[in-house]
Amino acid sequence: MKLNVYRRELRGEFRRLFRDPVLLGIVSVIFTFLAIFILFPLVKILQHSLWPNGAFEPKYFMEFFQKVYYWRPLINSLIVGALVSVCGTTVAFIFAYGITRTDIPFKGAFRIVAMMPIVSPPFLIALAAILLLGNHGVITDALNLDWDIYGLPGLVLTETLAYFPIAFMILEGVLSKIDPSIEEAALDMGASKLRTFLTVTLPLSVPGIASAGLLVFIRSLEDFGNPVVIQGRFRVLTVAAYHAVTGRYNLPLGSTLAIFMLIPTLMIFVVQKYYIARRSYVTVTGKPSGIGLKTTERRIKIPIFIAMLALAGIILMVYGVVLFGSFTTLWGFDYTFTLANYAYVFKVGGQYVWDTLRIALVATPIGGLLSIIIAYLVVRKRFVGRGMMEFVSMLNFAVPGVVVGIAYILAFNNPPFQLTGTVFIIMLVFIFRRMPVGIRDGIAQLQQIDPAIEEASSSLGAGFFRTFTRVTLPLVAPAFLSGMVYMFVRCMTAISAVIFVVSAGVQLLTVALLYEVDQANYAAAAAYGYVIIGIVLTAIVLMRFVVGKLFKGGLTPLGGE
Amino acid sequence: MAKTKLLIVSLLLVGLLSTAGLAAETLTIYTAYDADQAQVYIEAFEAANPDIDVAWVRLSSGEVYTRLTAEASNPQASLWFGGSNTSHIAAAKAGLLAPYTESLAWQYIAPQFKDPEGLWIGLYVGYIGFVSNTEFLAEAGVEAPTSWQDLLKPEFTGEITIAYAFASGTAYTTLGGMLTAIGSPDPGFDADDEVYVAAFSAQVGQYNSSGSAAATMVGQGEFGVGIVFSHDIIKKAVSPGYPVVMTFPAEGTSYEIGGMALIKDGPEPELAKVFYDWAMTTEAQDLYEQFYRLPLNPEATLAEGSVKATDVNVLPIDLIWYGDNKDAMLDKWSEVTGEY
Amino acid sequence: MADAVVQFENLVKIFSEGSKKEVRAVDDFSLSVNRGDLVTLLGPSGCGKTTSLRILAGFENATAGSVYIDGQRVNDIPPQNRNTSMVFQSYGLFPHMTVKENVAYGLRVKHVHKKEINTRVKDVLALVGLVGLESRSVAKLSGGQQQRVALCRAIITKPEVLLFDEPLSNLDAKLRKGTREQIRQLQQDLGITSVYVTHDQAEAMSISDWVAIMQDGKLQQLGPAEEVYSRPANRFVADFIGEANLLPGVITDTNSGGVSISLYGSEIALDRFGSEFTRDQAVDIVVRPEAVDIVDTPDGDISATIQFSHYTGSIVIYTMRLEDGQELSVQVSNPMERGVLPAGQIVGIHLHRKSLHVLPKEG
Repeated sequence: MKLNVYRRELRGEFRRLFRDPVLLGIVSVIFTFLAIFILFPLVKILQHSLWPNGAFEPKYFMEFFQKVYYWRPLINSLIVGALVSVCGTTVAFIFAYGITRTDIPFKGAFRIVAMMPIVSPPFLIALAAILLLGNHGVITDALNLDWDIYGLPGLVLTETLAYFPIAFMILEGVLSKIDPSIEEAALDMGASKLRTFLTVTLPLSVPGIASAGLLVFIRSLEDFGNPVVIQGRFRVLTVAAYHAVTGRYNLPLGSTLAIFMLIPTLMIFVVQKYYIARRSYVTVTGKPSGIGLKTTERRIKIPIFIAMLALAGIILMVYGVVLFGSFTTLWGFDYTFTLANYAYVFKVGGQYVWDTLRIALVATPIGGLLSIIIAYLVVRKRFVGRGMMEFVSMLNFAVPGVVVGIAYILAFNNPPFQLTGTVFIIMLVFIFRRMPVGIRDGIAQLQQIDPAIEEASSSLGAGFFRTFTRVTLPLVAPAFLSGMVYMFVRCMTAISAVIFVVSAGVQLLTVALLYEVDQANYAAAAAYGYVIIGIVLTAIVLMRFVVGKLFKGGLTPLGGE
Repeated sequence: MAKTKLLIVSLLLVGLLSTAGLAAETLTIYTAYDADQAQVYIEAFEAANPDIDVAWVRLSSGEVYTRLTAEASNPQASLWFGGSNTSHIAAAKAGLLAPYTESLAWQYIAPQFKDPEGLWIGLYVGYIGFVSNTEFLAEAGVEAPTSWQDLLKPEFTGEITIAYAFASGTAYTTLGGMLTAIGSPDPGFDADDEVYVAAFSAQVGQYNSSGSAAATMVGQGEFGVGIVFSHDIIKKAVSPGYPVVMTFPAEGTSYEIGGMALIKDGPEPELAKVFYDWAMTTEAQDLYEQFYRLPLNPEATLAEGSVKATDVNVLPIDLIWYGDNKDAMLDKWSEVTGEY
Repeated sequence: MADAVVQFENLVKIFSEGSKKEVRAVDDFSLSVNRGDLVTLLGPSGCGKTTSLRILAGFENATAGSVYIDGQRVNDIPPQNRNTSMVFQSYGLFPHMTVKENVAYGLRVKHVHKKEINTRVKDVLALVGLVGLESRSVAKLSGGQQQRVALCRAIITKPEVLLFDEPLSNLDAKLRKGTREQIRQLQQDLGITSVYVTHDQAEAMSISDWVAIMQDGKLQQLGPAEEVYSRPANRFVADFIGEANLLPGVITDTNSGGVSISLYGSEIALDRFGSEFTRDQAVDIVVRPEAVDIVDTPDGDISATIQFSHYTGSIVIYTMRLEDGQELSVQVSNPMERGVLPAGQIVGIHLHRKSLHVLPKEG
């Protein structure tokens, strides 16, 4: 019975699609893009790994489990990922709880500090770790410590700091959306604050905590910048794959390693999306209550406040030492103040600033537009393959940057799609890497709009294009523009995919930064870092200003009461 | 809404318009010199040839070789400037280079510093040395290493830094030196070599992608001992004033010939030849003085304090063999060290 | 057949949510709507009325069956190409546009000339009394005004069929009555064929030419309001429209055109239903609370004991109990004339013969 229903619906959907040429056109174009720029490269990875010379010969697959130095990095990556996930979620939870559930002072400042790692390339933190805690670092020397930051400790420290903001954003949302009357009911029945927390608040937050933890796990698994700088002899998979391809041009090995990177990230992605996200208990009424239960008890407040102060202090120290380093003459030896590093950046890297900016400025609106169109199709329209479109476009969320980089080299090095060496391949990496987040945000924005508004437009005779441009886009415009800023920031701070596709004609700031770190030119690296931060902050402030001016009152959708 | 559209369209226009670059004559090169050095050389070339713009990418010699292999069907660059010539030899063997014997330089360069068919030519020579941080030495209570065997001392465990053999010419040259100095001097791994290389690798605290980084790191005190070309040691560690000392292995040290080559089917072969010719001139090679490299143009100036052949014990390394067998050597190195 | 503008033909809609359960929202639904008529789809939530309307509009797709507009099968035509306009429950006004821009939207889609747009907008706003508000942002209007703007927007394009999806649910009670009168008046003046969906039976009864009562996706009865009220087709309709008492009885005799029914020891004779029932058949008699008189016990058809009286000023509703425990609801107007009877009193009930309806006893 169900199969018949399904088949009938499918045939109906096909017929309808062909009756609506505009929709058909757009859906076809998008599927083509997704096929070429997301699926085709991944297929190439499979091909190079399992059919390296035309014949089926999974040499490295077999060897992977036999040779220690092949599978050791996978284990290492998983260990780091697990530790970072736990630490990062814990740190994020402390911040989120402190900000949403207590009445400690300086909340605004804490929020800003918690989001700081987002505006800089993540591996800037590794640089700071060396400057502070390296064998000859500021803290190491001051306290005369005898330890080694290279390896597991460095990786856990840097990645925790780099990725806890993601967990923070999720947990902040979760904690502030729990219906306060649930907790009030518990207290009303005599439970203490602690008991309420342990038996009500925490369990309700568990899906959110799990989601946050898993997402941090994925980010840690795909991190490339931090390990390249600070892994020491504790090899992780991303760096190994990078060396296999750029150091030895061993594409079969690189592809095989890429597959072993993909398996855990895909598994985690599927678990998070289809298992945990479905079990959210939090009532999402669209408005964070804000008037949640606030803890005023000192014995809870004070330790949290102190913990937050300590963590904020660490973050400030990280960015502070990099700022300081950017003005020194010769790190580790001569700390005289100088502007020479910035002069160097603009002299040698002036072209890089321009290249990076123009690519990001073009890729961002294209990526934003593509994301909102796909989000619209997925949320509002029913057509053949809708589920497939959603799945494929979100796929890149789970694909590590290194894998994308390798895949793009494999896919676009030869005709018919010969794009290596051009600006376009970098743009494509930017657009399709960032798309999943854009789509997810687009879906959230669209769900805020009463569907009746768009149905009314259809009812009045407007086709897809008119409805989308005259009705939908204006209503999501403010959030859409803010979302684009986030995309821009990610373009400016990306490294793990683009490092594979830069060429003589085009250089990127993050790649230049990484090079300076690699060369141990820490002062110059620090200057690059702050140039990037400067650009990003300018963009954010500029966009806030522009959005504020264009959409003065904000737009609240009507819908009756 | 109209305003938003305007904003987006103007952003796109800015980006797209600038993407359509203005083309003067542009020469694309890959260079293995450190970026700040390459900048000096290339700017000097551009000053001498104002109608040629140079677009360049800095990659370690092993990475250049990889890049050329990847781009074999569609080369993006026309000239390979600098880097240990073992990589050039390997690339020549793989058919990635184009011959050029018509330059004046090719006539006067001695045969051991050029490829017989003109597939590469030598720009400079350099010798591998050890650089040690004196504060570290004092604290650890040990002398600076003066032999390959010294590097295996327990005081140096985790304190050594060097580049990956597959990425950097410095490191591959070092490997060649180790394989020659330890056990049998015949090229390639013998049983003693395997033991040594494995033990040495266990001493390394951090592998880098770029050969000269080790000198800076040792100068800064991040690591105790680095293995780097002497010209880089002087330029990056001694000359800035870091607390370091340079030593050489008594058994004999390894050396490189810095090479240059035309890339086969590169997009701008004629411009590449202009650069090629210029790079061998006295004016061009005089630039090496500030970086302590030893120029192969006999009329170029030698820097004060640079390390010359007479200052060290040089091993009889068969660079041609190591160039021809680079891939196999690196495979073996990966197996022995577990790094790849 | 008279001029049928809309035809539902054996419409079926099955929702399969998450491959677990299948819901038959619309089950073999057939209905014709004639030109100029207002037909209301009425029923409890989940009965399929809204789904059917949305299928007609094109926002949902039928699983099986056909929908015709003006003789043309429209199943595969996207909503923007059907000649229908919808007034939504939440109005669906474009919040970023003014009243004029909202109303003119459908005409702009058709590339109507600007001058003509201005005239037509003004005319249609005049019909609902909103002239002068053209440049007001719709976000600044009251609920009632927004509703009227939505109405204007829908009718200005002269659609073949006008669709209403519970348009008055979001208005407060007082506004509802006035607005529904206005809608009906407008519909009749313009002669637009309309399909109206509501769960409010008073609304349905007061404005419709035909009422279609639905339950569980099936059409229960189609007819004018009086017919649906006084001659409900089954128990469900009887219960859903107004209040109904269902008293059990048995047919004792049938003759030309009439029946005799025995209930609670009495016998009553009706001059209809003769051909519909047979002797000894068990039936339910539909007795509306207002279709009875309270009399002295010997004069009544049946006797009942008063349990509870619910006095609301203009009427009093008695809950009474019959001899077998069955409840009887009785409504009396102007109760102060006789006074409110106390609980416990036994009274006689006289049934108004012409207002009774008889149904076969169901399952």
